[in-house]
Amino acid sequence: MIKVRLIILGLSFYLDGLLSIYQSYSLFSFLSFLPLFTITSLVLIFPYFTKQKPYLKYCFILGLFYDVAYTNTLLLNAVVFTLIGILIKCLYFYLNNNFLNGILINIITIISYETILYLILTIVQYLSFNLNTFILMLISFIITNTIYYAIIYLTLILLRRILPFKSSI
Amino acid sequence: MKLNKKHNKIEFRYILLLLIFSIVIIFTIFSFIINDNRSLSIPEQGIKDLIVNTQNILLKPFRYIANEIKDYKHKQEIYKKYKNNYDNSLYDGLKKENNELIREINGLKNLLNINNSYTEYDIVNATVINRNIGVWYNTLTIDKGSKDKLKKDMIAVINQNLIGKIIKITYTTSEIKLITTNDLKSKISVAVVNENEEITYGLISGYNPKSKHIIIDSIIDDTTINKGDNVITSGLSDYYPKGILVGQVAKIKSDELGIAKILEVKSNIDFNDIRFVSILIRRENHD
Repeated sequence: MIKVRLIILGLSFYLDGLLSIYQSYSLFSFLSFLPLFTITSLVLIFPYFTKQKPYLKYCFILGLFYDVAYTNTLLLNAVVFTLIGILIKCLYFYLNNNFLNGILINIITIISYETILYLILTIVQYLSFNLNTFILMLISFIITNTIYYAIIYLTLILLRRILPFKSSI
Repeated sequence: MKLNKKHNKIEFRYILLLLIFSIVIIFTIFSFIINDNRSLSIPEQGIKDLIVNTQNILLKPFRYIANEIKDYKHKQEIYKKYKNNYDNSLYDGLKKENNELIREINGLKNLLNINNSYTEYDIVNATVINRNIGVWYNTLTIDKGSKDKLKKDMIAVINQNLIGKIIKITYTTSEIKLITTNDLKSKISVAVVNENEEITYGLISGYNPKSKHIIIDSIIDDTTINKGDNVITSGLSDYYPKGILVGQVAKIKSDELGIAKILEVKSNIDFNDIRFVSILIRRENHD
């Protein structure tokens, strides 16, 4: 039986690509619809891992697929996803698994991921540094992905009541 | 005890050195990886083709529904516009105007065939599968690849307006880098043509997402530039042929030192909403 966490990861991964062509749609006048569902899915699935080591393997492999399929930067996202996985582990160590904490962890994760990625791209001189653009994009990422987190989290809660999962899915 | 403390201090130095060395190696590797000129390896191409084509298949029903809704809304607008004004004389008038326009279009088409700057190119039309994932890369993925005779560095246009060039290619897909990138290594040589047909050269250096204008700098010439002047590719680079329209000058200002001019150019293309592109393939028998 396919594990639910694989379904969440796969669905988020494909939705990132499918919904990327709708980036022109604005949430407000200055913010855009910017999905980063793959990262949000890493936050969602962590509480369902009983052992920690396989989680980092999932992060690395997902990052590798993300690199090959979407960004053509082999190993960049594999490394950054793994670092983000370690950050998520640390955050869940100090915070309980509930809806509000999950949103907070999601926001911290997105900020960390985008900051690390932007710094790397600026240091290797792929991009010029522009703080205003970075902050606007960051706000758009946070709003879009918080809404996605809420939808998937509440869907999982509802499904758990209807179809009882094991603690490790 | 003192020996142990010294031993620990030495160990910490080695660890720090190793960490710094690792960071330098990692960033060196990243600088090679994050490079538009890097070609994709065969396993990368295979996995990318598989994932992106699966996405394309999944996207088709949504795209069909979106197009149908857009079409329906457009028809509703036309119906509302003409609903109250309909009478026979209006219909006859519109029919006559339509016939005149068809005659004019056919005449212009014949003219364009003779003077068309794209007679040296074949055109391949493609659909955008996904775009700009990760935001910072400013790229589009299209559903045509090397099997459709596309190659790296081919130019992408929409309605004869430049939008970018192909940077990565697989068997069934291609990745286009848009001209709206703020990538420091992607500068395109352009020519500004004023009403007296005088030409000034500059470089596309970035994009202003607020005003949605392309930024052109390095304009040192004293030639008069006015708002509304056309900006075209200069043909001075190996990749971009001469004469492809970039946009019209919207704003002119001086740089910080007051030596060179900086132009903001309004493109005719909405870069936030690109669904279909055309790729120009140079004909091999053209001299």
